[in-house]
Amino acid sequence: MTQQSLPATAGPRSRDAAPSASRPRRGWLPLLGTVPFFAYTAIFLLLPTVLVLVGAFRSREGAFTTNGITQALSERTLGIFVNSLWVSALTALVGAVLGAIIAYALVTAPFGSLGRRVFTAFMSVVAQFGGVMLAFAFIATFGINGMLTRLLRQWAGFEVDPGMLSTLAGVALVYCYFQIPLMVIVFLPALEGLRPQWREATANLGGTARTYWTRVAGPILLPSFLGSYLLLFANSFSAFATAAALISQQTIIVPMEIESALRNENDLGMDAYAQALALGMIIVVALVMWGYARLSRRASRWTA
Amino acid sequence: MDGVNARARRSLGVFRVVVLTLAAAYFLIPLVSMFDFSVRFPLTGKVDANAWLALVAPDDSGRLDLLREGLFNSAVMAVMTVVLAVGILLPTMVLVRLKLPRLSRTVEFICLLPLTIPGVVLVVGLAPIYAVISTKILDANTIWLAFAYVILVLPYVYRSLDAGLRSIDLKTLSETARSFGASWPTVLFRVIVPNVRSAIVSACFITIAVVLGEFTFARMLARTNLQTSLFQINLSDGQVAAVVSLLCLGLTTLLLVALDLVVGLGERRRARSARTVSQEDA
Amino acid sequence: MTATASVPPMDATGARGVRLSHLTRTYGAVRALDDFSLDIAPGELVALLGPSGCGKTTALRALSGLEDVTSGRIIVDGEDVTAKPANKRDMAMVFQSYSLFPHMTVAGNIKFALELRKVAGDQNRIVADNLALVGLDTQADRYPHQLSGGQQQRVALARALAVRPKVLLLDEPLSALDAKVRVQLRDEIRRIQQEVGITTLFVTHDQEEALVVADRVGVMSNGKLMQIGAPADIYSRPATGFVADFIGLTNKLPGRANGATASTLGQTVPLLPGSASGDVTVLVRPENVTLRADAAAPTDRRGTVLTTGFMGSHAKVQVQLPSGGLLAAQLGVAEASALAVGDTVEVVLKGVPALAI
Repeated sequence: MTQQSLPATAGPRSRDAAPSASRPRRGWLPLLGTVPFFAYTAIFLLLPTVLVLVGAFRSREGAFTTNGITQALSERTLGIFVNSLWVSALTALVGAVLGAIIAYALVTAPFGSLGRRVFTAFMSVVAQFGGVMLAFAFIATFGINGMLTRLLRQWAGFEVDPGMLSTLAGVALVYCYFQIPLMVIVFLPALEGLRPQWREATANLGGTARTYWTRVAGPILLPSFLGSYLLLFANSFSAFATAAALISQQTIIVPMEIESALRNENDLGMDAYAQALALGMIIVVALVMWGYARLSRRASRWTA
Repeated sequence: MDGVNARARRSLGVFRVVVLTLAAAYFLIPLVSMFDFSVRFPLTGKVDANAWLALVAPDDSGRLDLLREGLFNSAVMAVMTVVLAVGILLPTMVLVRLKLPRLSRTVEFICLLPLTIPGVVLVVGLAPIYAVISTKILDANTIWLAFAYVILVLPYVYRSLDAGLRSIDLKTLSETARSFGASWPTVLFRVIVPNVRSAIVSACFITIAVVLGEFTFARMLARTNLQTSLFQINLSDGQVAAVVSLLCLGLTTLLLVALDLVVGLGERRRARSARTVSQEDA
Repeated sequence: MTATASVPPMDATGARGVRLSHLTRTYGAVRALDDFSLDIAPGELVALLGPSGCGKTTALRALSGLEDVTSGRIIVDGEDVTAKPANKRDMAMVFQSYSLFPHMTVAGNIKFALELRKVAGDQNRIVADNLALVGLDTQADRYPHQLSGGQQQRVALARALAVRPKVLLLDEPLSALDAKVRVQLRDEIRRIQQEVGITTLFVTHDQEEALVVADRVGVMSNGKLMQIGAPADIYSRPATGFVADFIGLTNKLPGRANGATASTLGQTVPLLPGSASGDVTVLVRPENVTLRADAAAPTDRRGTVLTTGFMGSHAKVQVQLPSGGLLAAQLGVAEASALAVGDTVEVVLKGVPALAI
């Protein structure tokens, strides 16, 4: 007498579930449901992008022109691009290194402990803290009447340059404030992906802590680190509000130049110029994000 | 009793405490400075709470009007953006998941695109579009900026809803409801939404934080929102600007911290119930 | 009642092999290891078996140096290594998962180990030899993520053996693998271990695995070693109720013990040493139970057939006892097919010594 268990009834996840009712005959109906999404993004996302790409080569009357591009390649404009690239590279580096150290300190805390969760949440808040309010905070710290300015004068006799915040260096200093937490948030998952077994296996096989960091953890983390750096670079490159709030008279980075071009109603050629600048920005950011995507893919392949 | 491993763990603990304390101090200093600035009148050095009181006291001078207008606009836009973003994205994502899986990569690409297009660039392309909206379709009211804000928050809302939809068995839930005769709106509102509540809440919180902090679009398109009005107020009344900044930051902090806790709570609860089930089977 | 350990086949001086002596490890109020002692003779494979939280992994990690001990000594080949850090003990470990470094190829993983341990000789040849030992000589240039779980564990084993350690440590190496791969790999691990002759400690929660693979099996619970002995001994002569219950299947029958025998279900059963006396529960294995269809069976040993299950080489029959309890009997296929659900049977206990608790 046999009593075999019945073959399992096809569960909800069965791969041979009955084909859905909306087969070829009514296949267009669901597509209709996606129209709101595609229409909306077409108008407010894709159309503006196309306008920028095309508009860089069009004058206000609609004729093809390279005036915008020529002006964008002028010495002055290229200098502004260099400023932007320089500030982005520097703040990304500072943010990446310091952020990685803080992230590592965080990850050594037990997972799910209150302190770790609170600090991580704090980091995500500070990373969003940008623009106008951040500029105010730094002015309140290092400005003429700033708290640290006052304290440094009292305690160390050190006089902070009152115009410091309005320079490129000052902007870089302020940018680091939100770059570091962004790095913590972006890089933390990579650190969490380091398996404890790798550390233990290294020790077990005779390696020291230095061996572990230089031969195991370092190489494994490198793609993520570089990817995060690129992300920080793009973030800094695109930032506008903070600089706008700190600096009023000059336009020292690309986004500010774009604003000045847009505001300029006298010169009809400024439309194409603004769009050419925007095109330049798209190219830079697209390249950077492409690099980021490649590095992310490599990192996830190893630590999957 | 003090083994090698215990010693290594202890020195790591010291490293952690030192680094995190220094970091916390670094990040708190500007906030503390801003608070100090808000109560200490710059010219005389006198300390009082006038700037804070100015917010609640009845204002006849009209100097805070701009701020009120900006705050109102941003608040309205926050609500509009949330409703629009979730309202468009959730049904679309459910639809794609259930009926049009081949479109999912396209939808994902579009939703993550705003991450790669700087806001400055987008607003250059939006300028002519908004010119048309202001003159021919609607008016020049600031709140129509919400349409553009939806694009700004698209990646965050998408990621949030994606995580939420992934964690439930969407196909089974909807098929079961349909087999009992539910219409699609019923399925959406009474079956799906309650199950992705924490994802929707996350999306709301992030959206609110982003909208309240947005400056670039409003400035370039010459509109008044919270941040642009803050910028203006700072020129005449720096202390009030500092107070409002602190309040705004405090609110955003609360939102984002609550978001982290809500999401973490949901994850832990799910992990705990998964554990108890497997223990019962053992 | 703690078990008396069977005499360890280790030489009197303990100059070779592994001796874990009275290890205790406490975390606050929790005792992960409680006066745990174990000897492993040179070339022997000892399996530590037990439910999760019993301390088997703690014992292994204490031996490897990855965990400290609160008290006790660890002696390897006559040398006290208790205070030595993990990277100075001459051992090699295979983890349950993620043993391999993902950014190195298979060959790279092994070469890295050889480099760390300063093993002399032609690295490429050593890599090839050890990969051949585990049957993966063609995979030297692949990355871990390109290999299956079973292949990864084989590479981890090859890497561990390549450095010629004094002790091989296996931390549930098969637990993360599919059932079929698990069975295949455990036989291979045993074969390789015997071929190389390396002293090995193998931790697992799967009792079948432990019984198949080991020279001796140690059953642990709550940080204590309950019993250690050859697999057959552990199975047929369990020292405590916990061991009897954990290993294999067992029936629990109420009875009364007097001295060397106990009476249960109207029959007398010889008892194993260490059994309790008075009112006891007698632990009888299903294969030591016979059933005979007999409608007129005496009431104290009567039962009703509840279910019959075909298991391939044998059959399992569940019988409802008048006392309300269930009894599982293992019968031959022919015998079991003669019984139908609802039949009245006489339960006959074979005279195999059983444990009473």
